[in-house]
Amino acid sequence: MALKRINKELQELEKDPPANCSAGPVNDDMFHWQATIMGPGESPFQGGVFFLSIHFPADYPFKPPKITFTTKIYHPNINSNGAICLDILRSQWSPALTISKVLLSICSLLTDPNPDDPLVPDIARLYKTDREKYNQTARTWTNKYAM
Amino acid sequence: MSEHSIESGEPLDDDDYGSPYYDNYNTDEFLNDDDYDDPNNNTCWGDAEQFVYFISTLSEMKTRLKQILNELSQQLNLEPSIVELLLFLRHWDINSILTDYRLRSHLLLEEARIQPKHHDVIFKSNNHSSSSPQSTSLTCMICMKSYLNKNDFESLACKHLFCHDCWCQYIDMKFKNGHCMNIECMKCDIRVPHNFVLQHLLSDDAKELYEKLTLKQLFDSNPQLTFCPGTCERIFEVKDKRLSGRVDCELCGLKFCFQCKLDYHAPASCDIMKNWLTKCRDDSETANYMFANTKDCPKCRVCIEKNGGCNHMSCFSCNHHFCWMCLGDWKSHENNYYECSKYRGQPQSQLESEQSRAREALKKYLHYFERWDNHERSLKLEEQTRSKLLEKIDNNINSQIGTYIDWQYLEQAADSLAKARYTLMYTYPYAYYLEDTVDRTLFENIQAQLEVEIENLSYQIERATSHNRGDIENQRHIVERRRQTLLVKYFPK
Repeated sequence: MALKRINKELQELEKDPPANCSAGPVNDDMFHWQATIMGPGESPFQGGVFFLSIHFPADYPFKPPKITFTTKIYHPNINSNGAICLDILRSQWSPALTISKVLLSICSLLTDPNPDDPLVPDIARLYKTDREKYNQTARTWTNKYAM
Repeated sequence: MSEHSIESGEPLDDDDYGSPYYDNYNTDEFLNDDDYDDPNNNTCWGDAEQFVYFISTLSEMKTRLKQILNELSQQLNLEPSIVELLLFLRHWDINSILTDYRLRSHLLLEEARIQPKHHDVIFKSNNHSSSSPQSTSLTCMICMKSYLNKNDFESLACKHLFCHDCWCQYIDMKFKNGHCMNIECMKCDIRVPHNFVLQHLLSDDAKELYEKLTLKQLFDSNPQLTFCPGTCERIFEVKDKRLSGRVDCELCGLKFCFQCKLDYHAPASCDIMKNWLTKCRDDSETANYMFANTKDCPKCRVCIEKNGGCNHMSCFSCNHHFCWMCLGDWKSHENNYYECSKYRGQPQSQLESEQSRAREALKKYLHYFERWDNHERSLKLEEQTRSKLLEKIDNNINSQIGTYIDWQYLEQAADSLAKARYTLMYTYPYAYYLEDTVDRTLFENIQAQLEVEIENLSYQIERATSHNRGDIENQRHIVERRRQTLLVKYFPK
């Protein structure tokens, strides 16, 4: 059942790809995908290409996919292991969501971090107190790791 | 609920603390406290812990719930499982449900997320199962399986259609993850009612568990009801709002707080106890490290382990009488100025550096924790003393020294002692969170008075003979009075 749904999502992605994102299976394993997100224009991640790994659980879509960044990124809600703190990937997941919608949510998380629910408190503090320095560090990281 | 309820269950008058014990000897000899026998007395000597509640069994409550659901579903013309959701969300405020339903029924159902917002229905209704226009088959957007018959699809009021298998798997998953009354549609936030969940749970075990858990959540949402935290499955009910009163479940042998279900904790409030217990858990390592089980005699320095509840210690080797808490001479405790329950902070000038403030905070915590912990231990030790006492009474009766009735006073004294020490134990978390105001001095005085009388009683009980019955009864009376004084003044009602 999961396979059918994953195949369908892949078809939809190829037919109607979301802006700045792409995704597809690694080798022949349909349960393991790789995705890329282009750094959004109005963020310090502009110009960077970020890779993510997607693992579908066997009972997808009733359980959320496991998505992590494989490219290092300086962001209050993404830690050094690439784990993403995003409600729709945990408690707010719904079977009606798709990979395409999740990738778009991650894009908007890059533009608008959520410093009140941080995964990396130090970055969240800097984001709240010294936005210029935060932007500068995030740009440096983008240049160093994502270009 | 007010008009529907309360008849079932046996009324249980909760006036047992204090009053029955006085019946035996409550003539005019000691104090004129007839007031104790009247639990409804509102003078300052009324029982501060009096708390009236009713007990119902689970099956009685189920019958009542069924009745309420049937009546309401007829009045509102809604399904019982929808009424159940309303009851849960409105905390059983039946009157407000009825008025709101009469005034604006669709708003009530929209707010409760039982029906979708009006415009959502019109514009979105038929878009959800993605059916391609040219084919007659319908595809479930979750599993992407195609079905020929529209009857294979099910939806809630929001009309989001999904196939039966997907609903089953979804609801099963949600239930396994701990969702119960709060399962929502896969696409929007419309709530899934009771009967819909039951239709989609596969195993009988899951169904049974779901019924049990919804019932529990439903009763818990009613501020006038509380489940026994033990195993008896009985429900306790009060007439007005939820309070932190004492509930005795004699079946489970528990004394718990009606509001928070923790061990009963007067005079401390539920919030104080929550903070205090968290703090004790977090800091217990430090506290344990700094807190030794033995103390040295302040005079001869011999190492002493406490073997009774009484804090009046007499050193075995040098016969020095001292207080276990403050290690001061017991003589200073005999007059009415009992000081060792008070916490003495350092003068302001010494508190300048942050480090010394932190140390001071730890010292303050340890001061209260040590006393809290010590009384807890004393309670346990006095439990042992009590069983020894009962043995002693038996022996005395057997060897013709007095009758059973003659020795009852001692058992009662031990009961009073346990109750009073229990209250005293909970005054320490209360004092720890007490704001530094003028009131503190008064509270500490009352607390100290209670403490000194408790220690006197404990001392006397441990050394009871057939000659000091009058002293012990007198002392027991004083302890009970002190306890009531403290509770009347500081226990929130």
